[in-house]
Amino acid sequence: MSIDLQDEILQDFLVEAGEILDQLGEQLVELERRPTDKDLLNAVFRGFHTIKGGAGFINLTALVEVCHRAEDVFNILRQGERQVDAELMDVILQVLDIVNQHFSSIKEGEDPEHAPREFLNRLEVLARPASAGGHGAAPVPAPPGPGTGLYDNAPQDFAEQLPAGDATAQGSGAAPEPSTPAAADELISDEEFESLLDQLHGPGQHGGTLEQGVGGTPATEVPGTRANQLEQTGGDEAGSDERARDITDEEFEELLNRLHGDQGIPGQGPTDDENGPVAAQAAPAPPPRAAGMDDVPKAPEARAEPVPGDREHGLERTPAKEAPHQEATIRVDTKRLDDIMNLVGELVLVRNRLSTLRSCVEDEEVDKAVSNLDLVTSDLQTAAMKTRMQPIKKVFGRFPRVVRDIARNLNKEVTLELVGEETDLDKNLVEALADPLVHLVRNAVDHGIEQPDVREAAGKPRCGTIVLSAKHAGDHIQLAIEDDGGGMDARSIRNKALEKGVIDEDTAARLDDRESFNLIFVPGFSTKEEISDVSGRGVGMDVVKSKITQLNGAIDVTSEQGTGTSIIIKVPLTLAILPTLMVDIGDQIFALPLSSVSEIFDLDLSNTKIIDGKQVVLIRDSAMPVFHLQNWLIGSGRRKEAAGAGHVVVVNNGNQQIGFVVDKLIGQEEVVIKPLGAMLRCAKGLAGATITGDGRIALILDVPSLVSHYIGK
Amino acid sequence: MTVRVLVVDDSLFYRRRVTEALNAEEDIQVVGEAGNGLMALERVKELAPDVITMDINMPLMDGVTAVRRIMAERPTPILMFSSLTTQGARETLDALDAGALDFMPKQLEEVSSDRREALDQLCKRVRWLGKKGPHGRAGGPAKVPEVPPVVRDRALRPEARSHAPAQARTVKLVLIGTSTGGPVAIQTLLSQLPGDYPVPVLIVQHMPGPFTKAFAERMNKLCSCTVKEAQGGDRLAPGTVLIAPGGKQTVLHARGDAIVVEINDSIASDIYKPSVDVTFLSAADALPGGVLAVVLTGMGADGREGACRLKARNSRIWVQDEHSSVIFGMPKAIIDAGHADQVMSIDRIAAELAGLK
Repeated sequence: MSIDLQDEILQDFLVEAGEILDQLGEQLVELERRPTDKDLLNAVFRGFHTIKGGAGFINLTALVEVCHRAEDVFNILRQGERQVDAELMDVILQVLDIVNQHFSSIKEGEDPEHAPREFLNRLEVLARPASAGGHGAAPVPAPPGPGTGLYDNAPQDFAEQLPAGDATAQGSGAAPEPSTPAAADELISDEEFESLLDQLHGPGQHGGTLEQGVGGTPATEVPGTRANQLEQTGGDEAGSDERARDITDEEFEELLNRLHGDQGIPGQGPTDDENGPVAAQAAPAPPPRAAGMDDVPKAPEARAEPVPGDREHGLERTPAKEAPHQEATIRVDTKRLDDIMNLVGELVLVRNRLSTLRSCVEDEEVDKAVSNLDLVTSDLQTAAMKTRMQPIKKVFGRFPRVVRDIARNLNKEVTLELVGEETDLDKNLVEALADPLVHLVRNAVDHGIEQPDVREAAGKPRCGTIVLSAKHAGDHIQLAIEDDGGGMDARSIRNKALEKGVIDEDTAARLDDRESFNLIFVPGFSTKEEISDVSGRGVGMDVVKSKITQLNGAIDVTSEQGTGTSIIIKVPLTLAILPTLMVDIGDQIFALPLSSVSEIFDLDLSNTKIIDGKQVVLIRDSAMPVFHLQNWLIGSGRRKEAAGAGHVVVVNNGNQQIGFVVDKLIGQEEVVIKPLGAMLRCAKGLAGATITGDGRIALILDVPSLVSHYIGK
Repeated sequence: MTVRVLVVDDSLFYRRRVTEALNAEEDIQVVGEAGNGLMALERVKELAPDVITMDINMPLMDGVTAVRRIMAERPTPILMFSSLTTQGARETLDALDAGALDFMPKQLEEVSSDRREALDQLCKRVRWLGKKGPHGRAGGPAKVPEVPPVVRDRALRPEARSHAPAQARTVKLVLIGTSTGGPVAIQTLLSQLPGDYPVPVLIVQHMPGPFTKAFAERMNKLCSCTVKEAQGGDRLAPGTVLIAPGGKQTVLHARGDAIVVEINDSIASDIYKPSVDVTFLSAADALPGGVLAVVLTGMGADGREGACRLKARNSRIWVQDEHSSVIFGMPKAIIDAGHADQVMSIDRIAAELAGLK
């Protein structure tokens, strides 16, 4: 069958099944922790079931084949006829890998290859009750047939063969499958086996099965968040019901009722309850309905001030009752959202320009109109931004699997805790953060967490903990990766850096611990003695750092020996609109990303000194280097080092704080970043340009590259 | 009149496909969708659909529970989408028991390798259920309203009108053929038969392969007689109810005094597997004059050919009446062809069968 990527049905399938696959990854790892959780087993079962259904519809037989068997396995599991164990998990996780491979093939327009026969056979083995050989044989007279003898032993044999089989299925599949299953297949047909099992299990099994079928997913155990999403989105996905399960029937009913009233505003209903002002503020815009809206964002913390008088401006909220049968979501190409965002950006610029002009006009009517425009624009901006918001869960979701695999690989015991998965941020950011985070988490497992024995000897629990958290912090999202591992030794890092020639001795002597830790982000630095296949190739941390910097973010490490390491990443909520501090240098306007600005004070010359030929300012008993941006950026040649008047803008550059001396502070402004033209592309230290409220062009400074360009040389 | 449909499935993808297929029909309109059983309950209340298509495996509330609740609160004809697995069979039978009227395999390629044909089938079934009207059927087979037997002059031969009760002496086999709505109707019949029922019973119920066994197991638990899926070589015996296996064809042969069951693989051109006609035809020859054939609710006209030969061999034929049928297709075909000896409600048939002495 040829695959037509233009086919809307196929695209539909890929989107939905892709989401389910993501969830499955998470649920499976969760399952290893709670192997008997019925809801979880049901959810995984449904996941495979749904993918199979869709795949069947578009004749992806290879995919149907493998999902079907996985579904069978989980059917047995959810009926308690087999227990989840590590080997089974390995096989099931391989299923997930295979399905993912199939997806990649499909996306490239190729018909996916069938999974190796041996692998499918193993799944079939797992899809039979494990207990059959054990207790089944005793009370029930063995039915006649050629398979009797084998039947008693087979399942156990299968189980024993599993670890061995693991290796074979992983590879080319060329190695022969252990002989037992094959022999079984020859001597006893599937149907016979099936009927033997039914004879053994038949009567006893029935009652239980019915109950499970009916009551398998009782409403009482539904987490509220899940309900929110379902209400908003029409419940597109198989549930990941593993979260908070302490909700009573009544509460749930009530929740549903409440949600129902709000249903007309899919993107915002639930936020009303949690975050009144924000929702109110965003209400005028039509509800965002977009691709990936299954992950409908909660309102992010208000970027602009909530305006109480919102509705007086004729901005009636969408009526709460919508024709109930209308579809609650539509999928939109992200390209269109990007376009909208762009246009909103332009609008913001015009708005800024008008606001500035207003003061010149002195007309009450104009004043009013501009105020209105101001409000609407802010709202529109928030609303447009929300359409692009996705919970960070999208990225976090893959980590349980990552951690599990590495930990198993390295024989470590690690628990991963995820905090703040529902934190929303811009889709582009979510995607851009994925790789750096994977790297950091891998590092935490590989370098951070010690071997269980070592931990025990140090008086810690054998099982290490990594906490991956996300939260809103003002205009920013703060991500943290914290482990309770061995921590870092500042001295050995410095020595290592010396050894590798990353720093010289003078620098090494001057660095404090915190600065030393940040040496791990320097290219070519790796502390691990032996290179493992997990991490430790000495590339990566610097890539992580530059990636975060690209996102206008910052990364910082703190560590304490023996207790652990934490890495904090701060990134802005969105990439499209940048809050900046506008400054005037030599009558030109520059914008400094607000994310890097930590404080501002007036320059007092009596407080500055020259150390090592560099001007420093004393602040809170420590010396901070200051630089006159005019010398760097304004090519007039008048050096102003001695000039008195000015302000110092303290910016963070990595862990280092440095001061920039500027002539005037203009104020805070949200700007839309426009790329520089081709001729200016090579100019160092500039992130782009924007148009200010008074219609002038301001260059946006890129602090890290500015510093490395001018101080580095 | 347009049939208004509610589509319930946790997969948006699947909902869309079903919705597309149904909306392509002029007389069918999908008025709403729901992603789980709980939402389905709400939607049913809001929209009062004529027909519901229902998935079984869903989060929050599964399809079977939803059917039970809907039938209790606002009875509506429901078409289940089921997996063709043993587990799927049990769940589907649960759903039918709870009041769902019909089911289809969820993997549409199992209906027909031709996608279009499978979807046509879906539309056809939805349309039929739509005609059934809003009363649906309250949960449990026993609640079918009792109506006096309807006797249609046009269809019946004069001697049948005199309502001559069937005699066990003359009846060597009760042979039942049915399709949509059959499982519940059969349960009504079988649950009233005593354990020592003097006549063998063979049931041909249109069902996919894995379902008949689960169905037989279920009936065996609910009924006093022994109920099992028929196997090749089985002999008809009093007190034993055989159910023709799905996906195959069941025929009867006279071997000496005994009547022996033979199970054949179905061939590609078979529309129904099992086919009522195939079994009726063989029974007509194996037991001339000794068959009491009963044609119950179901879509289509399977059984008509077989009934013709049964009549020719002097066997009798009872059919279920329109009111108690989920779909008055197969019974009507028999009546229209003039083969029906009696037309009765399902309860009446049950009583008459149980009374065979």
